[in-house]
Amino acid sequence: MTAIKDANIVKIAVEMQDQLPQLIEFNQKQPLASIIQELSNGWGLSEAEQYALQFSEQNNKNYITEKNRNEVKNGSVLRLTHSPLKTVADILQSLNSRTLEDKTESLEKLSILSADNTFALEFINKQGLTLVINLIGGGKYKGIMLAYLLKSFVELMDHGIVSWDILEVPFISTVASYVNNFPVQQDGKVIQASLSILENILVNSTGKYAVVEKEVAFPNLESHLQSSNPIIQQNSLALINAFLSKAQDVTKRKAIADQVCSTQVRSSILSNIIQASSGQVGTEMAHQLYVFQTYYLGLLEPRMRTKMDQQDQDAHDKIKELRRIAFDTEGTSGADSFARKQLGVFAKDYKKLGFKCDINPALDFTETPPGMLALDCMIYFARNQTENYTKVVLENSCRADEHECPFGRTSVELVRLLCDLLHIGESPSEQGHIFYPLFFTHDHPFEEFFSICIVLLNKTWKEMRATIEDFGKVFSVVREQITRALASQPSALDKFRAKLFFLTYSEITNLWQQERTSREEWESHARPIVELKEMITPDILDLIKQQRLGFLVEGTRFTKYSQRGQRIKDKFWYVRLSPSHKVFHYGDCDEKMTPTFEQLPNKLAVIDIKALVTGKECPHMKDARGRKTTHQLAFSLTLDSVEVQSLDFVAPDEQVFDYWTDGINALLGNKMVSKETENDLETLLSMDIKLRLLDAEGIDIPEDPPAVPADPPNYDFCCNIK
Amino acid sequence: MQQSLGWYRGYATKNRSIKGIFPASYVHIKPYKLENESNCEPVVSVEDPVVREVTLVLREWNTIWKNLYVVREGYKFSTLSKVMRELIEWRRELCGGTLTQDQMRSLGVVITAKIDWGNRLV
Repeated sequence: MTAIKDANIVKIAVEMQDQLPQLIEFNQKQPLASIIQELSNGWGLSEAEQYALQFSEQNNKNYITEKNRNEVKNGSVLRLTHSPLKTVADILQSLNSRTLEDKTESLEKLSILSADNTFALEFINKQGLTLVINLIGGGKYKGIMLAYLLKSFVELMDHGIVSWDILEVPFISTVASYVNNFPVQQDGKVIQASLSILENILVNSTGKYAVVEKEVAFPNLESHLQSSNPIIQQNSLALINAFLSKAQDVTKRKAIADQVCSTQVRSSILSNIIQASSGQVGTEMAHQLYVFQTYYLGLLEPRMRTKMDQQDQDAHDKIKELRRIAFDTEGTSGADSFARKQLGVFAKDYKKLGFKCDINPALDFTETPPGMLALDCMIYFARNQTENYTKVVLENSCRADEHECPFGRTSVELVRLLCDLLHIGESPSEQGHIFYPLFFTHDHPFEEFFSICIVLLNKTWKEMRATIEDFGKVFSVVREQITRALASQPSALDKFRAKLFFLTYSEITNLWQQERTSREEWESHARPIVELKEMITPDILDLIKQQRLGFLVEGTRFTKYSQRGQRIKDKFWYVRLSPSHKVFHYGDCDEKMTPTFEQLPNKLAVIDIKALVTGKECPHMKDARGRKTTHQLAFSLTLDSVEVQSLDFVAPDEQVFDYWTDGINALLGNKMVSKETENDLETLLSMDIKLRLLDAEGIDIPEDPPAVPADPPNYDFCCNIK
Repeated sequence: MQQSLGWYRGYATKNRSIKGIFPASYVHIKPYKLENESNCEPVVSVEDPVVREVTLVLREWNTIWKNLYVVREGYKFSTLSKVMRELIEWRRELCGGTLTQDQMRSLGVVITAKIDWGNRLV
């Protein structure tokens, strides 16, 4: 009972301005009003209902309510202050008053307290928000007071109590004018809050897009990107992203994109945000950059989804241009080329270019993705990197063997791969924060990216000595190369190219090999494998036992030792186990002969062995001094018999020692404990596991067994033939 | 193989009289082809013939290899063990799907030679 009571009571301190703090026991079961009443009594305050408790930690000055009072812990320091109700009334009153200091002070207070849910609810109930909106819309406030007003507004709206749809055009125009810095230059805090308000209007309200678009002057957003204030930069980018995300149809988005994805905006972002921070931007900024990059690359989506129209003259011209750049030297153009066309040489050239349909290459661009985007990239490469282009094409078209890399087919496939890797056409996710600085460094980043990758593809194709049958395999390597190079977040296209240069085919194979090895290492500890090992171990131990007994049956020649552990020169004895594993035969021998059972006069029945002892516990080693190695190889069989008390051995080497002790332990029904057993078990077991898992090659083994489903509802198993 | 909610029914490929049902979550389906279109069994796996050959050889050698251990043919035991490990590694490369046709062909030749060599040894 006492324990339960104690759990409800926490010891805390309560402060109040101009008063001595009180240390009290805060009972979680006691209503807050009554606690406040007691505190007020302590300080001699009347009208306890005008007071409330607040957390006093710097970052969390929330009012304490019946809902969040559980957060009050032992040692918390609370503040007694005016209740939200009273504070709201005070603030509203002073906003209507005349003196400037009063107003500024109240507005500052308001901007801080607005973050508190209890306060915000009270303030909004008392029509405070409407007043704030009117004050902002009125456009009479300036400087720091305006900044407080806007901040209060953002905080109040942030609670989601009131819909963003209530805002009217004049309000939006006023806020937009702050962003535009027109007619007057505004304080940084004002711009910051205004940007945030506009972004929220775009994101959270319906039908206000046109108004915001009309009121905001885009060049100003670009200049805000160059601001030295990171919050302004971040909020401007967020606003730009909001414009892009809310542009309803493709034409609209294109129109917006033409303005916000201009070279100026892109280079402002690059030099003022990415490079200024040397790539180390905050999480929120990283997210905004990711979103911008997604929309920016997303502009390629329409081309990616467009099939080539057979009537599209421009596209046909581009295909012809590809051919011309590659094969026509100056002398053979003009009338001559017309004649060649008649002869069907074009088709031959298209075949050399590596198109699937050499009769009509236009058919190569009918699959989406990548659609027309592939042709765009190819012509970009041919026009802007003519030397690389002709090198790639001629190198392959002149090969006589089957190892040529078809430029046309691989380009189409490469563009498809890049679209997939860069998620072109997908909406940005809420959590995404990966952006690639190199896409901000060029007006045609995708086409440039392609130009680098197509050269890489050719290099890899050659390194692999690939044929057309290996198409898919080359692409799995290329995908790996690009993914890994991108993961290093290269800051420029050149860096990306350099990174790729080092990620050769053999480098990728090495990395794959390493991953597989560590995977295997990990899998050897996975539960299913461990259990499998435990299952097989008894069989393997049985093999080891058979091997050891076989060794004992064959027998060993031992050097004789004296009772005091001294080696006796040129004296040997031989011991072997009978094939029935029941009796040891032993007797003297010379250094060369291998005696038969009949030649060994002495016998010792296994059943008579009392125990096996090793090392210094052996009777013949008890008095041995000095020579360390001898006793490590010594073992004795102690007996119950009276005439012979023990049979004492010294093995010639460690392996023989291990084999004998294992064999004897096995005979006596003990565990085999030698180092050799451990090694043999490991060797045999690991091979067995590998062979058992041959059929599971390439399948990842889970760490824990998967869940077993509920029993099937019936046992009518049927067969699907497709 | 037949199926029902979350379970499969099938038999062991080594001994077709052993039948049972298995939780689908424990089963990984490999590429296969039906030998007989009319009923669904038996199926054959569409493995690379070299891979299948290596699998059979390795399993056969495993028995021989263990026997070499028991009779303490130390040299043969460790040599065969080395070759088996090599074959396992090569087989894995073949299965990995990362080799080009050229590489597959030349590896196939190496493997066949190694198997012949091993068969002479055992």
